[in-house]
Amino acid sequence: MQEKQPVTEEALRARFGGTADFVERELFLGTTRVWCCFLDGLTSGGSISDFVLRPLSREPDTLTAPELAARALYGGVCNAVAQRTDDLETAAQKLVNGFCVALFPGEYAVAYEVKTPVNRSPAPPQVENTVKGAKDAFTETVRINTSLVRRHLRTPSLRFDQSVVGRRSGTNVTVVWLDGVTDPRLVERMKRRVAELDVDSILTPAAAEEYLTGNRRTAFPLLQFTERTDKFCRGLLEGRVGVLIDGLPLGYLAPVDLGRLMESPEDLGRDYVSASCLRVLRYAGLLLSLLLPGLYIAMAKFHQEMLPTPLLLAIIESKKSVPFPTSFEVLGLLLAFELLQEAGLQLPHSVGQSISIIGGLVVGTAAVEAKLISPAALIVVAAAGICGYTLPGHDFADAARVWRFALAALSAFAGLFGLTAGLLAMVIHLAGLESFGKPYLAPFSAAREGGAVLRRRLSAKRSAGENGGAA
Amino acid sequence: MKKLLLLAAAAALTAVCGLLPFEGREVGGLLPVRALVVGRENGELTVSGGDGLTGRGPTWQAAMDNLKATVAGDVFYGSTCDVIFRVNAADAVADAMRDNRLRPAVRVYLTAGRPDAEDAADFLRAHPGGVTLQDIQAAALERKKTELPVLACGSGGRFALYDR
Repeated sequence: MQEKQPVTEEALRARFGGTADFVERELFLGTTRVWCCFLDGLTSGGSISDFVLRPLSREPDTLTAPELAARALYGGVCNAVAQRTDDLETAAQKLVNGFCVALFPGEYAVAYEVKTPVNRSPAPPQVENTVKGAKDAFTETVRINTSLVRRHLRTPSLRFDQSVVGRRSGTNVTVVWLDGVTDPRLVERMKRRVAELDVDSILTPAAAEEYLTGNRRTAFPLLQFTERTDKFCRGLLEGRVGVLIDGLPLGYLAPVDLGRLMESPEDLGRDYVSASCLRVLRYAGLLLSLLLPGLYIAMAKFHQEMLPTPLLLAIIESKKSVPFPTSFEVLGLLLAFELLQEAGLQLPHSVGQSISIIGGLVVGTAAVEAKLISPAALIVVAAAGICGYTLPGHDFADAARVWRFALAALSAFAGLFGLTAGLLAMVIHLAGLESFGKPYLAPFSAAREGGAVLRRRLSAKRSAGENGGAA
Repeated sequence: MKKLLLLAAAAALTAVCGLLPFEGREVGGLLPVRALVVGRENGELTVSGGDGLTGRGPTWQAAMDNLKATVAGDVFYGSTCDVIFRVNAADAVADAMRDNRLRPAVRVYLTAGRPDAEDAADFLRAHPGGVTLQDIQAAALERKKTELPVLACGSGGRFALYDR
């Protein structure tokens, strides 16, 4: 085991290598020289002056260095957090977390929390908007996020377990759960996953998701993310475990299954009849989004007999002057659709909207008029794309896009046979997926008990829960 | 991933070599036949699907093959709803019954005139008859006689259907 290096001025200076935001301050208190340092920007100059330097400078000049250090730690300095720090690494960690370190020569260092109050305030959710419901979304600061969760769940059973992940990034990762509600094995499993992470950094959502879920080879999400604090808290109340990562304005929930990914926060803002109807519509949207391009290719290329005659005649009429085969046309349009989406994402918001309009309306209409594509194919691809937007989970919608493309390609090879084979492969793949030990298709294995697709009445759900039934 | 890529490459190779047991045809190249008019001229059977689709030959099979051979495109009988036999070709009903290209639900008519297939299809879509190829087949198996609906052709493309 590596020996801990004592904290000294020179060692701290060398650790930060002359970085521009490393600020030093010397104080001469009687005969004792106290050396303070902090990182500018992470700390508040006012707080350092008021809650570290001023109280220290008011200490009697007659105090010796040990007495001064003891008073600085146990009473003389009015600061909410004052921690004794003996080794270099701990002191460096404190500095990068917004502490000011005061070094008492020959004694030890004391770290005072003087974080800057400059943070992004909780704002309304940008992605998961609802008409009703809470309007506070997670921010990039984990401590603000934990406070938001505490405000929704005012119970002493709420637990946070914080650890530092990333050899270079030193990111704070917090595991959240409700004691007595969440299965302790699930909590241990998540804590173990976090503890076992031996990576340079965990700065991006993909890094968090892949590392925490064990990098399964699937496009389907095995962790559910949300920017809504109320949704996160509801997940905790359902016995799931949460993860908050410093720097990411979202919370993760595990385990996740297909049913949960099809739930929208708006479902609990409506009456159960409307919410159930919308859920059915969402499932229909999922099926159409996945199957429509493939079905069109299969029907137009292999199984024309299955189309009603007027529809077939309309398709033939629209396809007559188009030089490309149906499969090439649909796959090309799907690709163009993805390109347009990607272009819209990479550009600033206002320009992105223009791209969508130019791409979708102008180029689409021009291509149809120039008879490069048929209106039927354009309608099919656009309808599939719009149906994909009804899916509430962004990650899940992305997975559906990948599979939509694969199913369309299989249809181009083998018509309905290929489409059916692809669909079966997808269902088998989904049935084999597990999120933290829970099968991905779990809600549908107990579909007869209700609540898998339709939203149950909350009163019925409560009584089912009281009777030990599945809700 | 490697397995998936290998599988995709194998599928693509099979498709390129034409070894896949699935044969597609482009919907844009289809020549849909909505109604088929069957007659006899100069001792030959004629089949006409309208829109320039005409075939002739000594037998039903030969006439249908001729129709397929003389057009640029794929003649599509999946959209055929009506087959109209002129009186002088009524004996071809039995051949039509055995032809797998026509759906069993295709309706069958008899006519004394020379109807245009497209015009007749428009009329019969609004006024369908009640006898189909499968009805005729069922009646033949029971050794019963089937009375076909009669399509009368008036002047100016007007039609009337007499169905008992």
